[in-house]
Amino acid sequence: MTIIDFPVRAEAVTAVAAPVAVPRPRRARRVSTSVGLSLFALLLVQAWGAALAVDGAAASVEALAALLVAAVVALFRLRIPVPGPAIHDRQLDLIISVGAGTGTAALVALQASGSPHGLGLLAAVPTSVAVLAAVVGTRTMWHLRAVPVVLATAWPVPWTTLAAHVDGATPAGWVATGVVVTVLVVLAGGAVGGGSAALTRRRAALGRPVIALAVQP
Amino acid sequence: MSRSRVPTLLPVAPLPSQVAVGRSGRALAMRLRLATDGLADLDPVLSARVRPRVPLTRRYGLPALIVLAAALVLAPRATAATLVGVAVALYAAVTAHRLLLIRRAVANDPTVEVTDAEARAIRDADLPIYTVLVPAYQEPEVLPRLIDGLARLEYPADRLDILLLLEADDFPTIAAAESLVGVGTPVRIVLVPPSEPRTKPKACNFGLTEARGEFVTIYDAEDRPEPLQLRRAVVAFRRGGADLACLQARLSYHNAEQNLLTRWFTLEYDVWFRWLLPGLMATRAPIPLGGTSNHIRRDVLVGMGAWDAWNVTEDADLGIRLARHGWHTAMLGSTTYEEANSDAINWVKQRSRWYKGYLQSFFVALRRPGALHREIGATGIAGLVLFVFATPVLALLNPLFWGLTALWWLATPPFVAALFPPVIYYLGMASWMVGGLSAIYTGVAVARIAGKPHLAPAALVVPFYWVLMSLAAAKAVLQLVRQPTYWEKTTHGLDAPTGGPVPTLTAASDGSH
Repeated sequence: MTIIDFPVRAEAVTAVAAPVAVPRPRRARRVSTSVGLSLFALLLVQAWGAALAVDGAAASVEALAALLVAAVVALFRLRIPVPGPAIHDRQLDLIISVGAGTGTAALVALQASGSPHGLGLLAAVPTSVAVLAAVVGTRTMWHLRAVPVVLATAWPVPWTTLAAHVDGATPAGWVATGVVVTVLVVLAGGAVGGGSAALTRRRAALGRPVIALAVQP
Repeated sequence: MSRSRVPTLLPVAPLPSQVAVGRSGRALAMRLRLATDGLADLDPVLSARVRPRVPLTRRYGLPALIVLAAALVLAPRATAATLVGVAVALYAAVTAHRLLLIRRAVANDPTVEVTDAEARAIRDADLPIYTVLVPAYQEPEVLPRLIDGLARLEYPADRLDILLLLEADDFPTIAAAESLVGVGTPVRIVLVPPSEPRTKPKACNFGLTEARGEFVTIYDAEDRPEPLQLRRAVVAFRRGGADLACLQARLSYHNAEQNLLTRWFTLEYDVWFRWLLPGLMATRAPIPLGGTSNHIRRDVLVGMGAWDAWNVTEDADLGIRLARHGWHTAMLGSTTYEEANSDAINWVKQRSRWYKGYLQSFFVALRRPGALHREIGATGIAGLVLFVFATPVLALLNPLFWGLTALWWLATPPFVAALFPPVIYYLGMASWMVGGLSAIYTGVAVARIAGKPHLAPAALVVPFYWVLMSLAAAKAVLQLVRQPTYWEKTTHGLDAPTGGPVPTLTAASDGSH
């Protein structure tokens, strides 16, 4: 069989332009761990507060705490170089910003029309996405994805629902508790950008018993 | 179903030989004009080139918008419910159409299969000259792999006509190409003069004028074609009828396991090339060709006015034009491996170009609706609407319905209920459940059928992939209005290292495979 007989310079064919896998810097791991622990603590506080059926004033304090933690998380995360190739897209930034801004407007409008579900607090999530996408761009926004996750914890509805289940002390309530908190811990793990799926799985495995015990009334 | 008819060609004037290979002066200017505006000059209605006068848009588009705005002001609920009803009907129709295509492809796969023995049975002397167009722009890093892939093609060197199409001001890529390709090879470096639009079809048209092959194919710079693909295509063409003008080989990805995005992308491509396109072929609807590895008879390609340099998915557009002129396109059982986009922002840019091109191609085809109906029939138009038009449009609409669903769960606002009268609600619910579940199921099924069961878990979380599609659709529509011919460049070379050394070739290499 005759094939192409290329006078090719062999040494030139050896280079493959693929990025070499670089181990995650130690500093990045430290920051991720500390941010993850902060997030974990915040989740615990929220779950405890809901389980103990705290009053409105305490809930406001928790919302403020979420805001502070979000700011701290953002500062910590910004100390780590943003991973990934230097590919950016301003159109995409603005599309995400406008989309999230529309979500904010809808939630605020529903809150203003008398919805009893605390949607104004939830609006902090799309607002943070809209602002981050517009100001720092999509790639850095994804790097800071812990911020909207932290802000989401200030929304009281999941916690009051959780507390109602735990107060009932039914098997279904405990299962719901385990599932909700596990999902939150996994989300928190992913949001911090701790890396591998295996790490996220370990977090989930740890999160289930710890949080289920923690939210006992 | 399109009716059987004699395939036709456009009245393309023969090209003077001095223009075909023009390198300077008037000949080069004429050649460049032909590459850029050949189709648009031949028939402006067939091209996506911006036209100075757009009577249809003025005559129908603006009044339609005014009527819609007035209806929204005068009867907001009824108008909104009607719009939601139309969207839900489109969702339902697309779901049914996709399932039908998959059923047709699975029940009787029309893909043309050519065995290795059949492919190798043709004597070298009986093989035609085959032109391979390889456009590359700002990607010197992938050229080594490209050359390696081309060198693995099992095709006699004296019957290969490989044109490496580079932009004349892309000095790094030119330098890389010159360092890799020596004199006396079947590879010719063709420098395309820099001009607008800077699109792949313009480069391909420029190269086509000096192509010598009976058949023409395109490979992207990062492609790894299956070594016997050209021989299989020759056998398939010889076997096919006189109206067989084009063969689309399957595309898949070599870096499927790199991350979740590449897993989703690979599954999507496998569904696309194994089921949906063969399904379209079985229904004889227009096939939007894939970006590379489509093999075309050169006489037909030239007779179609070649590629539309102003369309950013010139391949899909060509597939539609071939069908409109009565030519048949078939799927070829041979796979080209590409690099799956592994970065989300890069992916959105690439997908936005595809979606924009689909919309361009659809609206261009719709400029003469009467002629379109005569050429491809009602079934062909249905396929065009449900496949080419609906794919980006539904991706654009998805966030609206996700938002309405979220609002309903969060606050149960009455206006959401008003948008969904019972008929629309139940149809929408059925579409959501059947469409969503079938999308997940087909992903899992194709992972097993394609011999990639490890990708199946990714199919279970594929709805998150749809979010990226929606972002791409929004970007596509925005660009369709503001930058219709802008070519959103995809960055290549982001795939993970394969681990093994890249094979090297020596000047004396003539190894058999």
